[in-house]
Amino acid sequence: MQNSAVLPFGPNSDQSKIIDEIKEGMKENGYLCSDTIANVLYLAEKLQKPVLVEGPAGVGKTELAKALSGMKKAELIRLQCYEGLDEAKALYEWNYKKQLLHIQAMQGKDLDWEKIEENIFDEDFLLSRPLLKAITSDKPTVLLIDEIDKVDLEFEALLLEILSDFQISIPELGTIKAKNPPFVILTSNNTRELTEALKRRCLFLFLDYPDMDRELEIVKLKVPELPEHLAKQIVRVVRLIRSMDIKKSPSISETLDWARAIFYLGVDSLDRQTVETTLNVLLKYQGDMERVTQSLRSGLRV
Amino acid sequence: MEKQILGFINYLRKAGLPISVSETVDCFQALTHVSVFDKQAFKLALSITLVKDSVHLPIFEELFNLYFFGSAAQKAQELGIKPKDLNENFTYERPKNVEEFLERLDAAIENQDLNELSQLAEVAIDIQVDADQFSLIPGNLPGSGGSGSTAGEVLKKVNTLRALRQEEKNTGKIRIIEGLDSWLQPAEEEQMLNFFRAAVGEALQKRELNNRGLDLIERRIPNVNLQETDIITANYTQLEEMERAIKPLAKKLASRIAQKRKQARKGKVDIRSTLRRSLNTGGVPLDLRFKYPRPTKPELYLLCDVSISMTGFSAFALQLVYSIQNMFSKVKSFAFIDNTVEITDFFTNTDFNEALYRINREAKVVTGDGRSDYGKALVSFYQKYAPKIGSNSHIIILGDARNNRRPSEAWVLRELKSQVRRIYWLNPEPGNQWDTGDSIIGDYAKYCHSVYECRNIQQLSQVIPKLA
Ligand SMILES: Nc1ncnc2c1ncn2[C@@H]1O[C@H](COP(=O)(O)OP(=O)(O)O)[C@@H](O)[C@H]1O
Ligand SMILES: [Mg+2]
Repeated sequence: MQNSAVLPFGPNSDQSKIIDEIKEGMKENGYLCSDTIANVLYLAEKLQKPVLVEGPAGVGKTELAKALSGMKKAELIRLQCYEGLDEAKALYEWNYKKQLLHIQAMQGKDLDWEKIEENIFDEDFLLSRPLLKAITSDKPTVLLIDEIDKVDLEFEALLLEILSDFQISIPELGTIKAKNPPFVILTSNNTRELTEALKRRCLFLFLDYPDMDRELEIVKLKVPELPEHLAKQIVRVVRLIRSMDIKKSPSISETLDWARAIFYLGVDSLDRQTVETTLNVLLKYQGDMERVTQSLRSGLRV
Repeated sequence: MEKQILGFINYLRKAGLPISVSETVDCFQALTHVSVFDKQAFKLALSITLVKDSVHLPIFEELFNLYFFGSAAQKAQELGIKPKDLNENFTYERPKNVEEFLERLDAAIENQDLNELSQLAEVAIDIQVDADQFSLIPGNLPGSGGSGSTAGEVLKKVNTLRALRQEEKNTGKIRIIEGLDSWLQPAEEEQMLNFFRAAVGEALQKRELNNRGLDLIERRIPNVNLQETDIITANYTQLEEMERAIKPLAKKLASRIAQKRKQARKGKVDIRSTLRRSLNTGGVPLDLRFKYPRPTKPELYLLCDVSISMTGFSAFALQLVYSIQNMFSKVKSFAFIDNTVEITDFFTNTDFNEALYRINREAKVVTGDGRSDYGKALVSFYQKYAPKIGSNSHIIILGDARNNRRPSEAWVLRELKSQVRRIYWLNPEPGNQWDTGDSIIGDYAKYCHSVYECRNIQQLSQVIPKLA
């Protein structure tokens, strides 16, 4: 690091232009970026670092990666994590059936075993799973490692090499380095603590429920046929419900589902009756619905 | 500039953020790609490279504001470390008069704009009343506004102003709020004003410290780093802040435990049982049988010292233990100072603080001079409750084992140890103070399966999941 009196950090005139372009491009792909999100995408690209996105369910973590791949015209390669996900499903597997067939075909021919072995541990016999696919792809890719908190700690260790060096070591083949480093997005619902080692390799974006303006914008983008004043009422109600002490707060997906339901009902304006009869779209638990209904009834002047 | 950023990173580390060298390097890299004149981008370049846990985001936020805008920023500037443009470009455009203030406040409430509300809170403490005239004096003058008034007073002033303005606007007309708005509007307004009130409180506190010429950052760091502040020596404000931090933590523990149980339930293949079954199908193991982990959950007996010095600790520990109560088939809690009383029923349907308050008032936990007597408390527990405790039970004792030089009666634990599956002791004192003075933790430790040091919230939240 040089030690100079002048600003070492570029007043970067391009930066704000690029940020606007990112927002525009994501919007064309159905995703509304806050300034924060756009800036994170910009920096991730510049630093060539994976982004770890954390936040409650339904705030747009998965969708972010999808829209990004759309904007970049890159292939989306998705590794959906689940309990018990292992190397063979995530990285690669030797195609043993093909290997067996090959060995059988070679029988009778005058090849020594070493030669055969060399043959069958060739890339031709490798079944690529998402991670290897992303590394070996000739085209630009977005690699989405979705819900990383669902896999065990040991699995994280497997990812470290990919995340820091964009390469994979296969004992029989050596190290495969990415031709096109993928843009990597990892998501987590924070059901367990991720390791420091993993987090150190990523930029960290915490996605929470959006503020009122942005949620309204999202509703307008996704349900454009809905009149503005209805959209605003919908978002206000959702936000108020989120502030209540309930079991499962409505997320953006539920806001959108509700907005569509209200649109199909064709009402001019939201009233108590409409809210009450459609609450089941917004809330999943009977207790939560009762709680909101009660508040609605006690707070409303008739 | 590098120096300034490194100084900031140092403060973050002091506040408990585990920032590695590689993250520092990333941070500097990121900064080469943003303009320092863009506050948001600048702040984000720092946060996404340095903060990797959402729990730390509020700490970052507070220190960022203090460091780049507070008195430390001025000091740095005087020392010539800091490009002055940075601070100038980050400043907030204050409303010029009371009228504008009120307009912007209304808009912020309507738009639920929390950022603007926090900024306006700092302006609100500069509103002055002279002979029925309200005026806004420029902030950051030495001694301006704030000092002496309370958040309540400031809010009252603001509310009066809002009401006056509303009256002027509506002369002659009566505004009726109808329909859904009559539900939404008051609730929304209350929420926003609550937030505003808290922000005013914070603003006042900062102004106060600033006026006294104290280095805000140094003063706030111990507060900010709550996770590692000793509970038993914390002051009242710190305890209050910890209280706020405990709730999300308890939630997190609960959801993690639920996840773990789900994973544990999967079970391994039980070969013997599968083979036995396979006899029906001619030796082909069609029907796989699984071994399930220990099916019966233990019962939990919790004993808490609720003497004055222990209350904070016991309250936090209790809340965290209750967040994992699903790991047990039943949880019974007991409180003592020199006499043990069951308090399980206090925790149904009330909030924790209220329950603890009632326990101190209503439960007969003191018979003598009000000082802890672990010996007597253990004996009374043993006599009253031990006969009903089954062998599949865990006992957890919360306390510092400072017995005021009274008899330990450690035999009670010896007896209990042979009766139950596990005895744990959580001690809020630093390990190096154990068995000094009147602490007799060693006498009891002999009969416990483990004794854990739980000085702070961090240690508590690490230990508690191990108790099931
Ligand atoms: N910023 C956004 N712009 C547009 N739609 C969004 C945005 N955020 C969330 N959504 C909508 O919310 C839904 C849920 O998002 P999703 O990515 O599945 O959530 P998560 O992965 O965080 O659980 C998506 O179908 C998407 O339509
Ligand atoms: Mg998702």
